[in-house]
Amino acid sequence: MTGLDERLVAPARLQLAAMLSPVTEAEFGTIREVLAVSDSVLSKHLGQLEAAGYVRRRKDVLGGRRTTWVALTGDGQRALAAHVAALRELIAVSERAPSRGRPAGSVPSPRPGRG
Amino acid sequence: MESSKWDPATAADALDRAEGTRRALVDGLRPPRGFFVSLGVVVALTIILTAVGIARQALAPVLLAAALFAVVAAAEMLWSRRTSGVWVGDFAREVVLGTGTSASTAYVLGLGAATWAAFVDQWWWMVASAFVAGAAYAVAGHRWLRRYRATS
Repeated sequence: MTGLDERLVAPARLQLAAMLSPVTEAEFGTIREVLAVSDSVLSKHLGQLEAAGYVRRRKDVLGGRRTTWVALTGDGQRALAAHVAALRELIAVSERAPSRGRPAGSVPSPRPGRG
Repeated sequence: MESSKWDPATAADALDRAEGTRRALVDGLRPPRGFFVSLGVVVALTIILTAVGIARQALAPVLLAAALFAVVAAAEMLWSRRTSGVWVGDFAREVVLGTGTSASTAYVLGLGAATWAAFVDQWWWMVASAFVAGAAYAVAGHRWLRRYRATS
């Protein structure tokens, strides 16, 4: 399937990129709570996306404790948009063949980063 | 990549889950309690001080207004960022700094009315104009946030 980005194939990484798309940046602990994953799992996914240049991390102090803020980069926004478009195309193809697949339902529309 | 992994149902499920987490994060952008009230009050105070400064041709109240707004705006932004764990640059510009059309119009009209009232010594009018403008500024910010949540 062309257009699918192998770095966003893992559902958690797609969720991570999608949730960062409408915000300028989000705090590590907030992301972890929304995704309902452990610190180590989130760090691993972030490391893979960071290595691809899709996210950037910066250290900060929040409420007297050290924390990390994460942002989706421009490359990440573009990769997410292409990946979502490819998934939608996959669904659309199946809808044109009525016996296969299911209605697309609610799907995200990647938006330019707010910032 | 395995093509069998990406049947349409799997693709739709992946997109639905991505949408769900994105919606959860956007919904988490909630300013702390009292945020809009304090924003409206500081805007009103800023208008009053600026109007007095212009009417009395005194620089000190105008500088005090600028300093007050800068300090409170910075505190509001940090407070909101800390509370929600999310930072949206447009939120700072549109809601706190009032760069949107509604907020900036409210501010300009309120400042104009308050300045006129200060020139003619109608102090109650000045205070009323400032607080109406402050309320409109806060409401404009609240409406922007609702639109952001609905469209993101």
